[in-house]
Parts: sequence; structure tokens; C-alpha cells
Amino acid sequence: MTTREKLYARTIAPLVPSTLGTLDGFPEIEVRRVAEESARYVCGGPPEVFIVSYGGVLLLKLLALLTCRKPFKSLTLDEQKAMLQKSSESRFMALRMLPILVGLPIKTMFYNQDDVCRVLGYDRESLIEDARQHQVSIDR
Amino acid sequence: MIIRPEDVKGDITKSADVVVIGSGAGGAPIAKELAVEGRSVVVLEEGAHYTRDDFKLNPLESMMRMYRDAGQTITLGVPSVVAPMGNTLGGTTTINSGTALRMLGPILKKWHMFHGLHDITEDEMGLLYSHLEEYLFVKKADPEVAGPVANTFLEGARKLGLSSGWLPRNAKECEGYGSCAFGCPSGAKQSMDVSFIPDASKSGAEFYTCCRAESIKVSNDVAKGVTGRFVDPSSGRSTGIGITVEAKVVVLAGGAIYSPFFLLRQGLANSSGQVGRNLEIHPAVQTVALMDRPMDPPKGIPQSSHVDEFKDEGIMLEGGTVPPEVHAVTLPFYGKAHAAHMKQYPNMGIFGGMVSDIDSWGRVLALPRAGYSPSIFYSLKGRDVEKARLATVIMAEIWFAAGAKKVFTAITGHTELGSTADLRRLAQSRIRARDIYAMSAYHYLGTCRMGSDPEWSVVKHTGETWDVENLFISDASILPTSPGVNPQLTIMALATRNAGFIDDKLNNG
Repeated sequence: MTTREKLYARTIAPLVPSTLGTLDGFPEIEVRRVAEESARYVCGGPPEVFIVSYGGVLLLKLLALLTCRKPFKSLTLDEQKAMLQKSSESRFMALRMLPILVGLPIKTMFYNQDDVCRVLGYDRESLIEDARQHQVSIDR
Repeated sequence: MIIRPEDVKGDITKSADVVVIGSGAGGAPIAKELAVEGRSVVVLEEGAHYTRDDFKLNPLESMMRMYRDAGQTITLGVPSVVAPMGNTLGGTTTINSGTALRMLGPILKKWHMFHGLHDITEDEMGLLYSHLEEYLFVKKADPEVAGPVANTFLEGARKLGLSSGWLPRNAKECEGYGSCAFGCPSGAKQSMDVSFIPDASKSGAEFYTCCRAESIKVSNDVAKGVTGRFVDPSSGRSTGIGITVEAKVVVLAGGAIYSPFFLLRQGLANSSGQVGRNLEIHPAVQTVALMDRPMDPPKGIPQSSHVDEFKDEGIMLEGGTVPPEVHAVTLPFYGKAHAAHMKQYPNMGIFGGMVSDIDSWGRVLALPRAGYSPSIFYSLKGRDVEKARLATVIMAEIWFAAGAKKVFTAITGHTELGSTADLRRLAQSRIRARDIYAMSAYHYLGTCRMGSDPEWSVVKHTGETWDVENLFISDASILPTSPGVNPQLTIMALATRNAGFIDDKLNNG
């Protein structure tokens, strides 16, 4: 991982559990893996996406300090989730966009996992296998 | 022949009749038509070559490898819009939905009246469309393969008496693997990489992949060739190996974002000042419905059906299934609430609404910044915001008519519609552009537009630039306005047409 990726992964990791939540039947959230893959994805995009996304994470953490008088990671999961939800419903566009920006890579990485997809009834492997059996002739 | 970077051991110097920059819907048909005519053709494609065996139904992997900016290209404006673009052999056709529609009838009349393009006739376009439809196996999506989401949405539209149907697609024996936008694993979708490119290759055209064109050689206002550099496909950084192609004709086919960016960087073909201006896109909003029965996503054809009742008002509804990781980001929830909603993914359907007749314009600029990427300025204005809201209302109404228990929208304050009362509230509301929190955009057009007046356009009706002889542009950038529908077939039709003018030019010395 690059220094930028490491920095982003470290910063976003505390937001992973509260963004995703857990439910019976879903695989356990591997916070570090989700954070690192989010970092690779965001850092693979254009510079403005990194700036906005990284800035968004920092702003959310600042918001926790200002509104709850506690660092984000010291809030309970329910408090963190409530803060994200409240921010997403704010009448101010900038606040509204924060959890969306931060949540995008986290949600993408978690629901990209094969074991999570299988819980949702999407078995990628068997579909690929099926597609291999039905490859279309390239003749015109 | 398709040449991969590992096949290239040192700097290359070549000469050819034609060098084409880009292998998408604008570049590949020209390469094929001219190669079949016996012309020597070299194509430089910045993206890498992947085949159906590489497509693993994994959106993330595909975005990282085959999309520009890993699929995260965004416009600068309100709302900021995600603008996905292909960066692979076949261009965006390799990762598009495969919708193959003809331009709406009145649009060509608009081109005649406002852009002086009388040489492009309805009969000629009709012939070109017919030829392409046959070549690309275009036919309407099969309802049996389309999947429950499309069938359910159309059932709702029919209950409301709305004009709707199955979309024509360039797909052959499609079995509905739900992954058009991430590479078709069976090779059914007739994107450029499985149609024009292999045929061009058979006729002798050479495709250099992972090869970024850097400049067009011009002498006395005549294009003479192209220089480029091979790039590492994962980092985009130069490998240090260069290529020079001397050619009688140069075709720029980098798409409506990268073609103007290329010209602006070099200060070429812009005496009109129109390069990069007049950017039109098709902004799109989505609705997600929770049904009381399995929708079986994402199996089926991701974009197989449409509701065209409102096409004259500039609204087209097209959809719709997406895999879980894409679906997850459309739901505006956090924590357990998000997980609980995602658990209902098997019972959910998604549909998109596209503003197809647009009033908003943007601009592509080559500003100093890191990496090789343009700045895209675009904001949704005036009636387009209203159309986006209307599209959302119509889609929600259709979903409820089809039996949806809930509908989720991308409009702040109306994210969850649980009843027709919620729907009425949205229908009676006024929204601003910033109230739309998630928007994507497709079909970038118009940034090097065609026209009969060199002061207001960049290229002639033949595709040749007004300023530089033997420099042609062939991609979505030359369309002077939106064709009112998905543009790939129109881009291919114009490319095929322009191949004829290039051939004439080569014949005449």
C-alpha cells in the first residue's frame, strides 16, 4: 500500500462498522480489509475524489467533536449511526453529502465480497461457470 | 493484429494510410471499414485488452481495470455527477448496456435547421442504421431472458397505460448474466472488441493497446501522423517506450471528454473556440423498489426495457438490475438499517430515468492538474432539474402500480416513499439541483461539434476539422446535440459514413 492509501485506510476504519451495521446471517465485517480496499479504490480515482472523500471523513470526525463533545470512535455504534443518518438528512448540502461520500467505498467493498453476495442470493461463481458454458460464437 | 504492451520491446516507428486514436464506437468502425478497403490502418488504444474469459462478473475489478479513474470520474458542479467512461479495447462499448437505438426523427431536422448539416440525410442515416443493426445482431431484448425486474416494471407501466417495450440491443444469443456494464462474460454483447475490432484485425489493421497518443504531428495545417507512449495499465504511467506513426490521415476518436482534452492540450483545431464547449450529457436518476416477491437480481439483462411515453418531453426510462455492491450505494441508510434493507436485495428492483433532451451545458477544460485527466464542468440547470424530479415521480408511480411496498429515491426529503401519499408529496414539491444527492451521467456529447459554419463548429459534416486538413474526429464529440436516446448506434453510423470520406480523400491523393 502507498502512504496515501495507508493514511486513508487508517482514517476511514472507525467509520466502517457504523456505516455497514451487522445483522444475523451476514458475514462478520473485516474492518481492516474493508478500510484497506476502500483506500485502494479511492486512491485509484481522480485526485479530487481523494480530496473530497478524505476531507469528508475528517469533517465527519470534527462534527462528532462539535456536536457530541467526544471523538467519533468514542461514540457508541448507535450514536455513530445516528450521527451519519442525521447528517445525511441535513438541509445543508455539504453535510448531507458527507456520509454519502464516506459510505460509498465502504459499502462497495463490503458488498463486493463473494460471501456477502451469496447471502443475498447472488452466486457469482456459478453464474460465471454458466456463462463459460454458453459462450457465443464469434463468427459473424 | 492486437498488440499488447508485453509484445513491444522498443520504440516503434511506422507508416500507415490512417492512424486512429481510440477504439470505441467512433474509432473501431472507421478502422474496420478502411482496413476492408485495403488501407493500412494503425489504431492506438490507451486501455488494455480484456476478453470474455477475463470478465468475472465483478464490478469492482472491472471498474479498476476497464474504467477511467476506476469509475470515479466526476463532474465539477451542482450536483456533482458520476460520469463513467471506458478505458479498454472497445472503449465504452465494452462496458455499456448494449442499448442500440436510432436517433429520434426530429433531431436530424434540428441538425439541418440549426447546424446546417443538410448533407446528412434521413435516407442515408436509415441505410447506415440498417447495415449496423444487421452487422451487430441488433434485436429487441427477449422478455424470457430480461428477468423479473424489467418484466415487473413494464407490467406497472402497462397498468398505467404508458407506452413501453423492450429495448433493441446489440447482443447475440444473450442469456442475461446481468453484467453488461462490467464486461459480457459470454461474449453475447456485440461491443467493438468482439465485432469491428476482430474484423478490422483480420483485414490487417494493427491495434496497439496500452498506448496513449500524445500529440498529432501537423505541418502547414496538414495532419501528418501521431506520436504516443506505452503506459502501464494499472498505474497509467509511461513505460518509457514510444511510438511514432506517419500517416496520410489522422482520426481522433477519444470520446467527447478526451478528444477535446487532447486538442486543447495541443492547441489544435480550435480557431472557433468551440473545442470543449457545448458539453451535453444525459443525466440520470434512479429509483429502487421493494417488492413482495423475488426479483432475482442481478440475473437478467441489466437494461432491457424502456418507457418512452415521455420521450418528446425529454424523459426516457430505462432499466434495470445491478449487482449488490452497486445496489448498496443507492440506499441512503447507515448501520443496521442499511444492512436490513440490503438483506431485502433479492426482492428489490432498480430502474433509471434519463433526461434525454437537455437544457444544461458543460465544458471540458485542460487545466493544470495531476495525472492525465481533463476537468469537466457541468451543473444541472432549470428545466432539467424538473425533468429529473418528474422522471423520479413517474418511476415511483409505475413501481407502486406494479405492487411495490416501498420506493427509494435520490431526492433529499423524499428518499423513502411508503405510500401514494408520499408520492403525491413528491409530485407536488419543488426541488433544486442540490436536492438530488445521487446522480450519474452517460452519453457525453457535443464538445467538438459538427456544423456548416467554421466559426461555430469544429468539424465539417465529413468529420474533418475545419482547421487541420486530414485530421478527422469520429466520436460522440461531433454530435451537435443529443440524439434523444443512447447514442452508440448514431456514433457508429457517423463513423461508417466518415470512413467513406476518408477513403475518398486517400483516393484523391
